[in-house]
Amino acid sequence: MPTVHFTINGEPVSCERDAMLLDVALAHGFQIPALCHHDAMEPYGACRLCLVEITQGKWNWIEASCTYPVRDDGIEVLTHSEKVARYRRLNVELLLARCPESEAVQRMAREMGVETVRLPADGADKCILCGLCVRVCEDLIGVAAIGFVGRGPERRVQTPYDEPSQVCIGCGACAELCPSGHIRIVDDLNTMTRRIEPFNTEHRLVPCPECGRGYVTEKQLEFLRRRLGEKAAAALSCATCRARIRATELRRACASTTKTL
Amino acid sequence: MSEALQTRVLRTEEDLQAVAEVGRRLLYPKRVKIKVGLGTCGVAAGAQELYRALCEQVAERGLDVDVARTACIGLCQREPLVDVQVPGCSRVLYGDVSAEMAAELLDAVLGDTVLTEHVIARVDEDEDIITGSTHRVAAERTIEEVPTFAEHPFYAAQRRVAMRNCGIIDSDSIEEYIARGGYRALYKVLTEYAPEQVIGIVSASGLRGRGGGGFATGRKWASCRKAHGDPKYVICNADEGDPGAYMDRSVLEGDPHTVLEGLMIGGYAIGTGQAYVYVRQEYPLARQKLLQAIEQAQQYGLIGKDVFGSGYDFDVRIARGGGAFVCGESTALMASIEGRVGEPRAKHIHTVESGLWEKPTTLNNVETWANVPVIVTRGADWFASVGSEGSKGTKVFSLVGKVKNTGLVEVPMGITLREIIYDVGGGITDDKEFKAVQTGGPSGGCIPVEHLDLEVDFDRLSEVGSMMGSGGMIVMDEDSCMVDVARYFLEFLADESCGKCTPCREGNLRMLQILDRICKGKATMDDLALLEDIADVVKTTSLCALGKSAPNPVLSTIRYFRDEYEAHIRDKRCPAGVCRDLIEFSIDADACICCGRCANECPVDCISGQKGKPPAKATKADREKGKAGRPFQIDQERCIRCGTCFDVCPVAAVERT
Amino acid sequence: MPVVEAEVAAKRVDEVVAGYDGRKGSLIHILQDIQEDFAYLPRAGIERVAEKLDLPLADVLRVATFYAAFSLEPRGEHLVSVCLGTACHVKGAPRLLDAIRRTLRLEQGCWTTEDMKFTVKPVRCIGCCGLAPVITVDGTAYGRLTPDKIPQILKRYE
Repeated sequence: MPTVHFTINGEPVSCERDAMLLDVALAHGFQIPALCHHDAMEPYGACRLCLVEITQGKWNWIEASCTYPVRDDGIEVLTHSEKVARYRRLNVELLLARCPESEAVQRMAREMGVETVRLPADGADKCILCGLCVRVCEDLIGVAAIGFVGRGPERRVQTPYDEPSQVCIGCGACAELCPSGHIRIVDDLNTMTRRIEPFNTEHRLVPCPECGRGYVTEKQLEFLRRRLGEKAAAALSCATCRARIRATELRRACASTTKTL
Repeated sequence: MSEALQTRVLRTEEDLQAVAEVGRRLLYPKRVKIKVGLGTCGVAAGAQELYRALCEQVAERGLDVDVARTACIGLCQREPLVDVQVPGCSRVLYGDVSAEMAAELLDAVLGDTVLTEHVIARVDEDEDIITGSTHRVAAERTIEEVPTFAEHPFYAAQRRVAMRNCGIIDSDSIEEYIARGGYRALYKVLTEYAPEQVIGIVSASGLRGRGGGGFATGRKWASCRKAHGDPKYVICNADEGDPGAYMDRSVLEGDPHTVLEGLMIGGYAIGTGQAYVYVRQEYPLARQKLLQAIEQAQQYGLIGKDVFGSGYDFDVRIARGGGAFVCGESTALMASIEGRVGEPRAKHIHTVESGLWEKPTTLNNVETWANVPVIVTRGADWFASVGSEGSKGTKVFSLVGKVKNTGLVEVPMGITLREIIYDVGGGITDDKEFKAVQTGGPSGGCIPVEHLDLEVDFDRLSEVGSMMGSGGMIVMDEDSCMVDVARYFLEFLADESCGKCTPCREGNLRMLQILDRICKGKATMDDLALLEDIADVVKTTSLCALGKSAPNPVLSTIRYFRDEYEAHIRDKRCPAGVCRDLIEFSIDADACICCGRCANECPVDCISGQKGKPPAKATKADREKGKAGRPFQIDQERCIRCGTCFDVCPVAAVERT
Repeated sequence: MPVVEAEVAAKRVDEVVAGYDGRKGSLIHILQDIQEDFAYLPRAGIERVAEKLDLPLADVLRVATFYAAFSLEPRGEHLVSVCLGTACHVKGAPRLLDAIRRTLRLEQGCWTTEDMKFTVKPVRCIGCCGLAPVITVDGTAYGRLTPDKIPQILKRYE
């Protein structure tokens, strides 16, 4: 793959042809805000916060860096010009009007200097429609328990018919990736249930054989067994206990080697 | 009414000629032929009933008359349209022919008279645009008292190339298509030209995409040919989402074979035999015509394996839209063909490199494909001899709204807006004041009176803040509120947005909310500034062309009609009298004649009064007998501002403020 | 159109899917055929489609809720489509829509009459702009309309 040489904020950088500009910038230590981006998945280009200003010869334009494949030598990229900052602020203002309660969007707004929202804050929930939950569930986990329905401003994320999901495994990847706090995993260790809010879905938690804490859902264990076969044995205790067990084994191993030395 | 032919695979030019002969006999039979326009427009105006009535009359009276069908004849304003062809005489076009007039029409035809109130124009000679030859229709005599099409203001400036067969042939007849030069271009291409030569001709012609993008067609084909991937695809975009534009529908209903032939030529040029036609869900008749045309072409071996013995295989499938404007965008359209939602993607990697199923794909609009056969047979120079510097050839516009002559017009690029609206269109209905013409659909803008002398072509329209789009041209007069127009388009766009990216999804909705407030008199000047800010971010940062062009109607109306926005905001007034929350209807008691019509028609029964003699004319005796009327009054609390009373009052006593 | 029974829907889906014979990208076509048959997409039908095409239910629903051609709710016996294209808008389509809703006594937010006889659906451009404003009832187009003509047209379908 040929190499492309260009500049970001005046600094020379290079990358493989067709690498996405956002990835290149982040790899070189440049900070570019983004809400719908994640290393593990294909870029989506929805939030429009990762904007940059590009100048190429006589052309100058604003681009979403996450979906821009770098192909041309000599382009000049600016990540925080006046122009870019303005458009980022406007998009954040739109998101904040949609989700005034979302901590992540509030934080971004503060960082960008968006102090007032000139629009009625009338969103129903904290979802910013970044699509990370849908994408991880379908593309990475392969379960597609949730999906988009509707179009335009009516678009939302839900389980089919907004009913408790039949196929969700309760892994919590959606909540892990949700940048706005809309999706929450609520574990009740007394009743050993896990609720995925707001998708109305409940799972039974399996207790860790070591410490007894509920740490994984039955369906997720099943899923891991199917996917990993024997290696799934590693998942049979909770992360804390696993770490403790490993530490103990390591100590024993070190102790026995020192003995022999 | 196609003649049942013993169809066989056509291999040679002679084969084509033989079928052409059959077609010519159908087009110009040796008896009277009455052709009814049965496109969707005609049917909506009652042409189906007229057709049936004519058939019945002919059968009853035992007449030797051919009652035939055609599709869109163009002057939709005057539907139902009927063509009368007496052998050897000029062919006469009639308009506003209702089913009840069937007998009268037949009488006139057989009695060799003309229905002067309904006659529109006459044709003495038919030109075959493909070959350039002409057929003398009025071989024996011309009907002098009827103006020719060249003399008729609606048709005079028109030059039908893409629509060359519409309204002339029966679109159910492949033989008639072949009689007018059909499939001659394909034959030429497959037997004489290498693919690169075809691309060369199309490039030299200067043909630019007619769907809205205006991209150089030859260059697109060349890029696709160069791209790596197999199989490649050619697609016809028949999604025609712009409200107000229906030229593609008319071409598909009136001349489906021209699109198929164009696709085959394009497919050959870029190196594929796999084609799709993506037809809008709202066009069932167009889809039906296409399916039929494909079947007919297959029977003649024009679609299938080894066409004309050239070794070229061609197969075409029809894909249906699901009711989504965004699917007119090429990447969304392709996603839809793949069975996915119509969500556009960033186009840094062009669809000519990676399109349908990630293979190199050439997508062009219906009208673009319809021009291809003509370019091949008449040559690049011929095509480029018409049009402006940057935009060659003709363009079909749907001229609708407040013009006297509404319909589809095909004119050379470079003609001015004034010529289209006043010469072809006949000026504004009811002779009102022209206010603006909206071009380019929801992606376009409104052009005011100061630009009426603008030459219409791709580049000039963009310069004034609008665009060509697919050719929709909606004329507005003094009674149109430009703020309401902007609001209308935003409502459309907010609904049609796929919802993926923040600026388009949120921004269009917010702009709509602001415009709603402006139309209700609840906005401030700060709102106008906010509107401009949002318009800017939507235009600059949206993912696809739908979002990027969504602010155009708002921006162009603010640019040219800022005073109207300010009237709504500052004065809480709608100058055009459209925005319901800002208008009031009241009855002038002195002018009221107490007829009670307003109260009768009022849909919410909010008008009260007493029918009888108006007070000014009522005598004491009238009053005693209870014959005196009381002027009618509108209950403002319950009035819904529909304007019905305003429309029906015989003495214009209802005032609108 | 009444609500369709689950078995009827599933059976029809099987037939339609078989007709497309595994063709690439046929999901939308399949849904359109079902929509045409039943005037909506019954839940049992959607679930069956997901099953037969081996697609996640969420994916099928995504498509079914994206395109305006599909309805997840049962429709009335007669479909009144009101064109809200630009030419029709400029020539008074909003008033026509009001008149239709009034004649059918539709409440705010409702688009199907209580007796399930009519469903009113605003549509984008039918392509009859020369005859604006236009409505279609069960596919038959009526042009050059004014609000007073509505009652007689709708009466024909009662």
